[in-house]
Amino acid sequence: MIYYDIIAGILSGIAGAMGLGGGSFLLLYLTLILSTGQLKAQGINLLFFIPCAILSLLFHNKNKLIKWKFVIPIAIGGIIGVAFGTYLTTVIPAAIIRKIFGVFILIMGLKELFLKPTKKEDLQNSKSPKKHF
Amino acid sequence: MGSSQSEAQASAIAIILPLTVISAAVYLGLGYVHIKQSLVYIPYGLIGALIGAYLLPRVPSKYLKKAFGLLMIWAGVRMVYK
Repeated sequence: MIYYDIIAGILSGIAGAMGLGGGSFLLLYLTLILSTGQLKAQGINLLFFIPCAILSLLFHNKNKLIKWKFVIPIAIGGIIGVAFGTYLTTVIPAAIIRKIFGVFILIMGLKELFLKPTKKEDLQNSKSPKKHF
Repeated sequence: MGSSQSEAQASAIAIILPLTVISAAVYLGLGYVHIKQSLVYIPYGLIGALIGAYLLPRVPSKYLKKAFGLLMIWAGVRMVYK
């Protein structure tokens, strides 16, 4: 059984480091396979993400993948958003907010899946940046 | 905003990190934190993080986009139907 723990941890770490919903695998593993309670699983997942994110950011920063001038304003906005969102859940039922947001994400996901990469994204396919790993 | 897919996804991690720390602090205050159990998975997660950090600059944009798109669709469906 420990093998599954290891695999779940590694897959979550990989996904997290690639910005692909880090921890989704762990969350699913905890709730579906280990039958952990939802809130407990979310708590474990949150904690788990922090060191993994820090480690991957060290490398991404060396590889010059992080656009700090965008990160800082958006992160600040995100913190404000968290505060506002928390207030919002006291006024509008969380279920409604979740559904609206879910539809939005769904549409964005379909766009990512089916639209061609823009020119700037295509640049990444052709150029080979120096990798410091 | 003029970033490659890898840059966008790496930057996203940087943005989410402070939000996660805040969330974790809230969970801690509410008593939902289980440090011991997180500790079990973290070493493997760190190994995974090394692998992911190696892969991210090397995987072509279109595959990252598709993976990310699938992830968002799955997340969206979950949110709508929960």
